Amino acid sequence: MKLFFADLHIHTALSPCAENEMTPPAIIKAAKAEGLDIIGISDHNSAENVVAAIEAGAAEGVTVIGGIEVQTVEDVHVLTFFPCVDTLFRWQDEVYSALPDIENDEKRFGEQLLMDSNGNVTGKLRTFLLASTSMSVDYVGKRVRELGGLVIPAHIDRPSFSLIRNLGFVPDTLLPCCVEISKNTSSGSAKERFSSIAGLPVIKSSDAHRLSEISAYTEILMEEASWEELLLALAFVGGRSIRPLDIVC
Amino acid sequence: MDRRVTVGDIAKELECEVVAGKSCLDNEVSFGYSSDLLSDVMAGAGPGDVWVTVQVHQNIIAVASLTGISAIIVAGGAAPADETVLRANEEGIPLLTTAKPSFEVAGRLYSMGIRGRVKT
Repeated sequence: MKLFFADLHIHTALSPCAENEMTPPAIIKAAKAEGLDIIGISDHNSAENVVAAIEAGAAEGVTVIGGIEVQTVEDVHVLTFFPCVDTLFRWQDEVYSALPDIENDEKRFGEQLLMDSNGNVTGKLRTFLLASTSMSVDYVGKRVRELGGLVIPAHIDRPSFSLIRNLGFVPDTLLPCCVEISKNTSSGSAKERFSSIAGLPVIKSSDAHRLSEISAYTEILMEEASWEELLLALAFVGGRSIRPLDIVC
Repeated sequence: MDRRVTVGDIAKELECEVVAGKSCLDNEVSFGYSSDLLSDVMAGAGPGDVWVTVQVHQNIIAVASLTGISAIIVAGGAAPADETVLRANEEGIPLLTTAKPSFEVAGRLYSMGIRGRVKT
């Protein structure tokens, strides 16, 4: 058993709100510099740069978990992660069909860049990603579980786009594998403020939109930096564990 | 007002559809509250309020029970989820729907003499 460091919520330059410096290789380089073993790539409502990030990570020995930060009909942000890209892209198709057909106004919101594993721009995504899908948070939870993915309500302590802020508490039917808190709070403080997260594992992530924000916010005790081990750690099986690093900055 | 406005009065006046909690239309209404952030409603709404929202998630019923809300009006033509209707009936919370947007609903309620709850 070994201690691994994770940051499971990182945006690439695909998210219009993220800096264009968020290329797959630059993210991996920053992750390595911060001592990270495992990162999550979760752009808004899209997974287009996940394969590039997985490839860039494989070259440097950083495990990349591919996902999508879905915006539900209630304006709640939910991280959804999958063990393989085939299922992830199947989920992406469903997310896309639940998105309104609005063209990105890149002057106002920023570019939505598609990139390869070397960080070259290969195109731009036309559909505006910072919109709510027509899917409810309960549907997202149910469907992602059906597809074998992980459901993590994002930054629940934040004043916007948060499950707790928007819907008051964790619905008893959602059954997330854990909840994510932002870098602005500690797990102790979050558990005190939000009684409905009692019994749920807590992770902390950067929600990085620029390279300097990437950091080790969660530590995981497990055998290796893999999807299977992550699942076991989330279930605290066989002495494995996952916990946020409570350095409030 | 001589007589407190009831949920039934509101449903009639605003031509709302009552989709759940039909047995509780005699609930009296004290104040009005309009918000789509449930954490805000939990902190700000109180017993007897009529709550105007576009949220249709089942959590709205628990929030209404918790705060003692008299009725929920789902505005803007949003359709409550099946689970929400089920829980509203279980909890005895009148759930009203209307195509009118929240602003229009709040204005109509104000015209009926219902005022906003002042936070203490």
